[in-house]
Amino acid sequence: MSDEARDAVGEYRYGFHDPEVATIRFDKGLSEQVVRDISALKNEPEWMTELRVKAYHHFVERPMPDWGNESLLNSIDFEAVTYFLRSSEGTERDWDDVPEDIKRTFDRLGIPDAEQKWLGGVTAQYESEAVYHSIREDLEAQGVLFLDMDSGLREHPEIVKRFFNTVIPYTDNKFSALNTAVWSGGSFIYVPKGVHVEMPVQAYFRINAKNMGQFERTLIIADEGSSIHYVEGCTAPTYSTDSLHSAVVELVAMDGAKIRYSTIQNWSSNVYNLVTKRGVAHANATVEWVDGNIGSKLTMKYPAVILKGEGAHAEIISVAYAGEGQHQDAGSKVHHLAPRTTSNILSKSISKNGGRSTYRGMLQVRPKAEGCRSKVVCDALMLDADSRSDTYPTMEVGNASADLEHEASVSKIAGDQLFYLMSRGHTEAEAMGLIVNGFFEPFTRELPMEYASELNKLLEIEMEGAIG
Amino acid sequence: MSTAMEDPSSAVHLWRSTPWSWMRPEDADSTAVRMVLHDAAGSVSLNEGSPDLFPVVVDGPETTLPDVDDIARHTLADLDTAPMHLSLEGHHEEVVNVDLRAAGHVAVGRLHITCKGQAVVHLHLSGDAGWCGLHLTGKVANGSHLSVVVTDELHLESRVVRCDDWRVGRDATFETGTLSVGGFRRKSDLRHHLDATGGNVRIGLAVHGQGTRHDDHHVEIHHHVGHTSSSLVANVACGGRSRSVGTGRLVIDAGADGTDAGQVFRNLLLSQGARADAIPELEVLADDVSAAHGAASASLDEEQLHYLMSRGLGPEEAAAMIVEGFLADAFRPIAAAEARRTLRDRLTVHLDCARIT
Repeated sequence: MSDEARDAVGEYRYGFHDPEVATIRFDKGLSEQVVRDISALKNEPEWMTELRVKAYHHFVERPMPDWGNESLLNSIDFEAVTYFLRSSEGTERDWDDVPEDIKRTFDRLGIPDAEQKWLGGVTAQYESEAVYHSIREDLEAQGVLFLDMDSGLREHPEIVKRFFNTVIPYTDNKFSALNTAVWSGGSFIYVPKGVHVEMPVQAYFRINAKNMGQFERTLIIADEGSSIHYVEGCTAPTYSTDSLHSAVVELVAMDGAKIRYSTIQNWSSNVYNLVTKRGVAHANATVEWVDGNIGSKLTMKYPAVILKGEGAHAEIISVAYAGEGQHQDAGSKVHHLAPRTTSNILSKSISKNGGRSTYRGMLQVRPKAEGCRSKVVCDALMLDADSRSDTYPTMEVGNASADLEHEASVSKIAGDQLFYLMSRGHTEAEAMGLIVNGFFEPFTRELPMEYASELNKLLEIEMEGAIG
Repeated sequence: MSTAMEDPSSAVHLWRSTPWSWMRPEDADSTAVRMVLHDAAGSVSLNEGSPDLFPVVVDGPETTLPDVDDIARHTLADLDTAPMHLSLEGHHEEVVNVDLRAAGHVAVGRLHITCKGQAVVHLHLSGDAGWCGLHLTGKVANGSHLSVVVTDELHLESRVVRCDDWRVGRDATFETGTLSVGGFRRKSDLRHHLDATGGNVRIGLAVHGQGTRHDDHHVEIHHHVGHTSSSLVANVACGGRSRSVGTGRLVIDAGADGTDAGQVFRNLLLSQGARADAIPELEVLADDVSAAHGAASASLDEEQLHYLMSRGLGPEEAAAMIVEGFLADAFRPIAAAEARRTLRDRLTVHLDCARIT
């Protein structure tokens, strides 16, 4: 990397970018023809093509949301985005077969290393499609399907057709419509009845080209009594022009199943990260979102759980770090539709150097949801006077037997805590770093160990220069 | 001005749960809310106010384009041509009672209160107007202490729109308690501005929903400068098929360091058909502050009911006693004992006649 490039990249750890090697690159801009071309290129069944086209028209007709950070949302130029770029011919199954430059990128991210050590499987998505996919043989023998979404549609169309677009229909919001129209890549997982995937499976998404849109679509189905932990990480290099990441993630936990979905989003500070994530939990099932937002220019992401079956449970733990020029508009939604459903929501945010963090939550109890319980806790730390923290929770309670609690607080780092640590020999910056790590600890302890240590390192980098 | 404004869409936060189309008066012909002052000491006067006391929108220059959030304020200003002014100077030992009697198809009243000293004011809203609009504005001078108690016992078939705009000066305290039990559909938009250091706002709100009553309270507290404090306690008990919406918007401006603010929403659901929404919001732009909010929702505690019934009370009486204690607790932050007593007395009278579940 040249000095000039290094200067441009600045502090962003994953801000390196390889020369872009595209085998297929669409012109910028979006039209019905682009949507049809993407579908044709992938040889998709007709129902998918028609779904894409309907979603495209809905996207065009639907106005931009008039809430949240409207000025940033309205600055997105959809005609300046490349909607499809294929970096590699087909999805490889052997790491050695992946093109050298792409492999170099992922080597720097540590993906094969992680896989060898402990991960159940890996999908790496570079631009629009998965370039490398692997799954441990024992999982395959148990009938676990872990494919990139394009292969999932090709090889298991009956499962995809049954669940795709059911948890998050394209009419849900403008960006779910956009994703349904132009989706490419993402993960498809099916865990058969009673199978417990002991090791986490992992996907990594990376945007390398500038003005690139990445629209992965992930569908995870855990059949009755099964369980899985899926881990997702995202990065992008720093360019002077903006990129758009608009994913849709649908989770279906059948009776007694458990899905945990962990994300650490570390997009560079020119990426618009507008993501819709939602899970459905049937009777006695559990859906857990563990959601970290460190990077991006604007994130709007509210992982949701629909508690549809009696005794279902939702757990959402999220952290957000908003540095200079960043707006982390994140939160959570839980809809209690069935009796005796329970949920816990914990949200932590830090604002620094003029960053803005927003918690936007919805907790809804429908009239038939007898005997529900829920607890919501939101804590925000402000590290300087230029930053901002907002909390917009909504509780809608339509059943008298519900027992709900919500509490939130905004504060700065306590002087006595800093003083205590500094009296033990830490510098002010170290003391502040320790307090921040402790503040995020309820989140990091839920992550696999290597991700937890990765997050702590990222926070250390972000915290550099926090003093003075 | 309001006639030139389009109805706010359902996406506008303030009007999301209670659309303006539900609340707007259906007939422009209005009568004034009759205001009668009861002042035993004879030290207070209620007069027609000069127009410069009544800016339609308190926070912001009049020249800017009207905001849809202020459509109710503009409507009230269009309808009421004779606003009143209550001037309170010095220390008032007795509660200043003002009866606000709303009669006719559409009844509108605007009242501006200024306080230099210390006073407790009880505004009692009653009558059988089909639609009642009330705009209360006021200013608490530096070092003053004003407590305003509003008891709303309008006829159960009335619709009510209430807007408040209060400014609180240096080292001044403004306390307000509202007992909201009247009218079948209500929208309140209550805004409070802390303009100078040492200012303090304390708000207690008790809401009882019965039948199909719809009660929507939006409470804003703006800390424009530092070293100010505020608290909001909203206790809501909903029975029948009633619905309550409580929104608390707490804004701490940049540089308002040393602010101490908190708000709590508690909902007690008394029947299967009742619904209560709580939306406590924080917007914090300063770092050296203490800001917190909480919300909770639950049904009647079986243990409390059992305890009272084991002492010989019937189920209805036991429930009424728990509801009374719960709603009265909303007034605890109000320091003025006369204000608390007034609210508590009206609550007791109301619950004697009301259906609890």
